[in-house]
Amino acid sequence: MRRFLLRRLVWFALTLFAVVTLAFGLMRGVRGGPFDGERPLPPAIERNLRAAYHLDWPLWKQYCAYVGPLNLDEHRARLLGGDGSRAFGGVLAGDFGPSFRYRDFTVNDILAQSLPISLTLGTLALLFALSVGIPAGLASALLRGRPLDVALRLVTSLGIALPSFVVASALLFLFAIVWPLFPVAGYGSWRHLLLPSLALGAPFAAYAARLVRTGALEVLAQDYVRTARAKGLPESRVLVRHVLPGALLPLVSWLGPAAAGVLTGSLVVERIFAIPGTGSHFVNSALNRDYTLALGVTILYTALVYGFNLLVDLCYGWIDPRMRVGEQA
Amino acid sequence: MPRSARIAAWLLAALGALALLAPLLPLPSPAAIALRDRPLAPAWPWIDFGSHAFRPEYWELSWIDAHLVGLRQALFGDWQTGHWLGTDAKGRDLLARIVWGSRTSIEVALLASLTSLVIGVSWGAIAGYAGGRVDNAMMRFVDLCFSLPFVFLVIFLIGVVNEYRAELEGYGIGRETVFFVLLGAFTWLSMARVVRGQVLALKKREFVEAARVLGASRRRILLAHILPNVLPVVLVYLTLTVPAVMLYEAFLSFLGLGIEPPKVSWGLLAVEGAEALTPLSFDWWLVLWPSLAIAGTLLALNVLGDALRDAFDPRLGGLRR
Amino acid sequence: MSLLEVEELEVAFPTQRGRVRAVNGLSFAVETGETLAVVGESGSGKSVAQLALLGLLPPTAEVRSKRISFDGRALEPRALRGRELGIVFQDPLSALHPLLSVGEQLCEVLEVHEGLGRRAARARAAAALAEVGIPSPEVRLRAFPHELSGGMRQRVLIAMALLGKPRLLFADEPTTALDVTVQAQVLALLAGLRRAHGLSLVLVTHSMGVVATAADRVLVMYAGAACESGPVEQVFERPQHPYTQALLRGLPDLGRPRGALPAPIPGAPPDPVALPLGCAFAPRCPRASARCLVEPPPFDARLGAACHHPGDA
Repeated sequence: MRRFLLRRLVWFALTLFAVVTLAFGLMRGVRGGPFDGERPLPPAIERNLRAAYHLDWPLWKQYCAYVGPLNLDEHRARLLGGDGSRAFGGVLAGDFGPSFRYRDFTVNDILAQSLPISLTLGTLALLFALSVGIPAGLASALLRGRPLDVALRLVTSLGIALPSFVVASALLFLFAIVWPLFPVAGYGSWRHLLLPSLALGAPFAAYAARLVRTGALEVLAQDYVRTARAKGLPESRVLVRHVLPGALLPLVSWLGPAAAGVLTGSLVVERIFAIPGTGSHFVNSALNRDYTLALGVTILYTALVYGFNLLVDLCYGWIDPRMRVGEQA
Repeated sequence: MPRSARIAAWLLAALGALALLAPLLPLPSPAAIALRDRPLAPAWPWIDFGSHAFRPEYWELSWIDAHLVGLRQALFGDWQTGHWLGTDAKGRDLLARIVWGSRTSIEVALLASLTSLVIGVSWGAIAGYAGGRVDNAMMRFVDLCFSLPFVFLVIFLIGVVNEYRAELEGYGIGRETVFFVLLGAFTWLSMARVVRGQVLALKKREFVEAARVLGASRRRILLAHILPNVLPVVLVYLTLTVPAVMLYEAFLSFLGLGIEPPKVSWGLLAVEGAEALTPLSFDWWLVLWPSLAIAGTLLALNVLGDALRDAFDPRLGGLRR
Repeated sequence: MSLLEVEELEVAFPTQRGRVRAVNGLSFAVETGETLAVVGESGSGKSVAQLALLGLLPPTAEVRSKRISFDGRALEPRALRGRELGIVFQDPLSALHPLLSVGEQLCEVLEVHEGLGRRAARARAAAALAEVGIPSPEVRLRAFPHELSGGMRQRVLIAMALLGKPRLLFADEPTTALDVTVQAQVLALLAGLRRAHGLSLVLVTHSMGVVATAADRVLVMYAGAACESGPVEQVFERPQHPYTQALLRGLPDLGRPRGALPAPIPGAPPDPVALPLGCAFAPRCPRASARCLVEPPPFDARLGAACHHPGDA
């Protein structure tokens, strides 16, 4: 088990390294900079700004400054009003640098403010997806062929086929405008997150229901379910202890890519519902060439997805002893 | 094949025909702007069947399309259908936009899927057939790519491509070609995995052994023996990749990185529909018709894909019954 | 009074091809303390009959019978299975739950039927494993089915069935999935357990060898009905039904001259969707007459065979 975790962590570091380097190279290696989109600046000011952000350094030096762990930055003090005399800086020291766009803030500040919101949104969406999808899928499998199953399959197919922003807009329209049950946009309380998480989670609920239905149908046809009934166990116990774990396996292995999908989908949903989460920051930073913010968000998302995948693999091993790591008989 | 799959196949065929013949149909131009205060609600065919108001305003059409439009004008004169599905805020007919939009969306989807297919099948086949360390290395790369937050790279790359648009167009590579290729480049991963799995399984089958004993070169075995047998799986995956690409296109159009006006795609229509739902106006048609079109097509693709997958399922006998 | 009495059991499945009649008027009885072997080729309906008695067929199956009684009362499969009616399935790897430990699968029988707590259940489960000849049973309780060998898994299945204290145990081809040496061990184990617990055993098999080794009485099935039954020595030495005679002729025989192959039965079993009008075996029978083709022979209890022309070959 320890070797497994170690291997995963090494792979994780490699992935992050690849991401950082790739993104860094793309951003800096390509024409166009963070100050291009604004009103044309007087050349002297632009020169000073570029110097302040080290855009005049050679590329390798900028890279090292960004990654750290040594603090090569004597100008930080001037930018942020603190004392720039710390020995360590850069990503490896947990510092994502100053934002190029929002000049008074560091990337860490921005992320600290927006990440909790996005994480809450994503978690709510996933919880919604699972709590609706799993029972729906089970019901569909148990009542196979009957009207409820047919109806559910239709609904789930629709859920998968519609683009997320259509669903989001429809929900917004129905429940915030036509029946003003929820606030239209912005963020202030949990009520603001309800519709967005529904919109975000809907396609995942549909997919989850499908996966559970397929998994359950497959398990129900297995011999060991027959054995359980032959043992005289009550049907409820057969369903919960014997059918459910196997039925959920395909769902569990899908949760990793699903988490990544939730992060992607949050871009759309945060835009429509005007939620100040990390998603909107990412899109804007990519378009505004706010290098540090874009890199910071990318790294963070990679880390989140990777961590979640690892968790999911461990979970899978917990349910299915045949897949446990390091315990092969 | 179950009946639902057959209906789906017919639907898709009809859609394809409609898209192909779009320039010939007596529809209004999808780019003809007629500014009014508000979008027009749908007018039932018996109320407004058609009128002589056709204006041939299009974006830059290809040679064939231009001639087809000319043919249409010869056939129908300046008659065009009425606004059966309504118009958008700029007075552009929605039915025409949906039909013409299908062309763009289908084009994007097919080209991107083709790119994805070419890269994915080659990668997977080579990895699976070569085996050993080559296979390992190639698949580790795929794993790495899977962990990357691809969508973000797409957004980024498209922004980058925008920078270099002038140069690329000098090489004859339009922005859209790059768009297709990028989309395809981001969906080849699962195809590669699936193909590799198939090739690994096929490698052990007797007919491959027989071909090898008969002295066939590795390339010949790969091309003539293994690839044809990988085709069914690839086909199934295609029917599942196309919807994914279409949704991606809609997503990117939503972010303003997709197809650009005056050209129209279903993604753009969906976006416009989404923006039409405000507290001030209730232009339901701008949401309903495009959503129906998208949902219907993707549903049909999914149903077809599922049916194909069941048909080729080895447990049920697969192709060789 | 027999422990189990089955009269005119019929099982049919509606399918796309038509109505598959798997069991057609099967009647037999099992006495207390005896081992009854039910033998027949694939498709003879022996497994289906067994599953029907235990109520384990899918809901689409149509099960009818004139009378089924267990211990004098009408049979209620749902109430009795796992308790007085036990079954050991054919393929131990697919019959055991891959995600639950052996201990969990054993203990839950005791927890549900006797309301035992975890500790007491584990003790009993370990004892049951020991009784079927599994070494270090406490360790094995924590194991998962895929970690055990085929023979051990089969023993676990047997132990699991025994935990319910059955009076009648069905064993569906308990040795088919095992190699020959293990087969002998399992059969010996079953015989020993039967004596120790005083239970009746119904051994469903397609191997005459197993019948000869392990059974007291034998029931020969063909096309979903009984064609001959009786004490094993009697049926083996003086078979009355042509099918039984053909089966016995087909057995490998050390006394046969070298190079002579055992004689196969010509033809094939009838299609269960379209069973013949008269005797099901008539198309393949060397003694068939016109009467056999139109009139199904009734089961003669004295002879123990259902045939219009019974008797020595």
